[in-house]
Amino acid sequence: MQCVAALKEELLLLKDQVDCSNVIIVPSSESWNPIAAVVIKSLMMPATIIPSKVDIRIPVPNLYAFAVSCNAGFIWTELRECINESPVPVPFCTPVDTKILDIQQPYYVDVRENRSALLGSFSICVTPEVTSHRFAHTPLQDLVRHLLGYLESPTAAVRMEIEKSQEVLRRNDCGPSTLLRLAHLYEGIREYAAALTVVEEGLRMYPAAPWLLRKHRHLKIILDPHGLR
Amino acid sequence: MEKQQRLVEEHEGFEDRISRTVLWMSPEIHGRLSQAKLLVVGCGGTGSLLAVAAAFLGFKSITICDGDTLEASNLNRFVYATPADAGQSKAKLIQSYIKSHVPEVVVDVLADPFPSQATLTLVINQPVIVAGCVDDVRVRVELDVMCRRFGRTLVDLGTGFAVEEDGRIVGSGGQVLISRPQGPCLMCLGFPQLFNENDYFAGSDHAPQPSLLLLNTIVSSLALDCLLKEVSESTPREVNVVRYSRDQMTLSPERGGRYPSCRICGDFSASYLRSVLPSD
Repeated sequence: MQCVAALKEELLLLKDQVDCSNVIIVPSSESWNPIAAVVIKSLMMPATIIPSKVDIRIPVPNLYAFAVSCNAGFIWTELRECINESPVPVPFCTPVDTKILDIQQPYYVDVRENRSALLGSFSICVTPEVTSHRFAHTPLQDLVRHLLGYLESPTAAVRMEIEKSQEVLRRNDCGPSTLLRLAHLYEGIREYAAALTVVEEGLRMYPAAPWLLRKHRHLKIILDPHGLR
Repeated sequence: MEKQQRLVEEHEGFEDRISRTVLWMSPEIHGRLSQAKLLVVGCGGTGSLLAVAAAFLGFKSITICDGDTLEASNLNRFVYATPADAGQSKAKLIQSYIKSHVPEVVVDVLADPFPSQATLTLVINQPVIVAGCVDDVRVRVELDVMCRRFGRTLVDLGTGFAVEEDGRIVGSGGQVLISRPQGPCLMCLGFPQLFNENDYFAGSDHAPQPSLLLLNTIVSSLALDCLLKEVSESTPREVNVVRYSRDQMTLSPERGGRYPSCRICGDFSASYLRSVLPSD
C-alpha cells in the first residue's frame, strides 16, 4: 500500500533539486505497490568519493509515506572514500547477498520482483535521525540530501557517532541497544575486534540479550570464518 | 427431491443448533450476523479460533485468507488439526472443520498471503468486516490502510509477551483494536513506529517467539465479541481499544485518539488514501 500521491510530489522535487542526469521509475506488477524503485541516473558524488557519479536505485517499501520512508539505495560499484589520498571502503556500503534479500523481500516489491538484478550490487543506507516517537515521513529528496551529506566524509561521521556512543557508555547510561549500536558502528569501519570486545562486554552485563548474542555469533564468524581459533 | 429433503433437514438441524444462541442475541441481531460477510486475514493461533467461533456464533459467510501450511510447532495452539495434518493449508483445514460442523456456513479460502489481488478484489467488491489475525505489524498496518481505502472496519487482535532488551519476559496479554474508517488508525491507537528492518539494510533472522493457546483463546473471543458488537452496532462508539493483561488480570476498554498529522487517519489522509489503487 504505497502512497502514490506523496511519491508523485516528491519525484517532481527530486528532479529539480538533485544534480543528476535523469530520474527513472521502475514499475511493479503489484497494483497496491505500483512503484518498485526510483533510479537516479549519474548522481554527482561529493569530491572525496570514487567514482564521481553513480546510478543509485532506491527501492520503495510497502506502506511508503504512510508508515515507512525509503532509507537505502542499491549501487553497482563499491564506493570508496579518499582519506589522505588513499581510497578506503565507505562504511556501510555493503555487498547485497541472498540472505539480505531474503530478509527484505516481504518489505520491498523491488526485491520480490527484481531479485536477480539486485544480486551483486551494494547497498548504502542512511536513516535520518528520528526526533519524534511518531512516524515522520522523510521525502525522497531529503533522503538523497542526507545520503550526500553522509558521503561528504563517511568514515569521520561514523567515528563521531562512535564517540557519542562511548560518551553515553561513560555516563553509564546504556542498555543492550547502545552497546549493539556501538558494535555495529565499529563493524561499519571494519574494526571487528573492537566490535567483538563491545559485544562481549555487553553479554557480561546482559547475558540473555538476544540481539547481542546474535551479533556475537556474527562477529565470531567474520573474525574466524573457519572456527580455527 | 432427495436433495430438497436433505436441505430441509439441514435447515431444521441448523435452527436447533443455534436456538440457544438466538435466545441470547435476539433474532434481529442474528439476522444481521447471517447477512454479514466476515473476512479473516491470518489463520494461525488466533485466526483459526476466531473463524470457527464466528461460524458457531452465526456468521454465515466467512472468507479466510492465509497462505501458510501447518507446522508441528503450531500444534500447541492450532486445535482443529492433528499431527497428521502437518503440511496442509491452515485455511483449508479450518474450512473443512467448519464445513463438517456447521455446514450452513459458506467458507471460502484465499490461499495467497495478504496482500494479494484476490483479497483486494474481495474488499473492494464486498461489504466485508475484517478480522486481522496476523503477527507482522507491517502487514497489519497494510491491512488497515486497505480497509480504510475502501471504507471497511478492521478489528485487529494480537497477543504477546513483553520482552525486555536483555531477553527477560516481563508480562503477557493481548489487545483488540477497532479501526473504523472515520476513527483513529492502528498506528495512532498504539502501534510502534515501523522502522525498516534495521538501519543498514542488513537484516537478521527472527528468533521464534512464545505463543500460547491460553492467551489466544481469550483474545480471539474478545475480538469476536467486538465483531459482533460492530455488526449489531452496539459497541460504545468511544471504545476502540480493549486491552487484556494476564499479569494484572484485567480487561480495559480505552478510547484512543487520532493524530491530525497522521497520513493514514489524520486531517489530510483522504487524499493520500485515494492514491492507493486509484480508480481512474
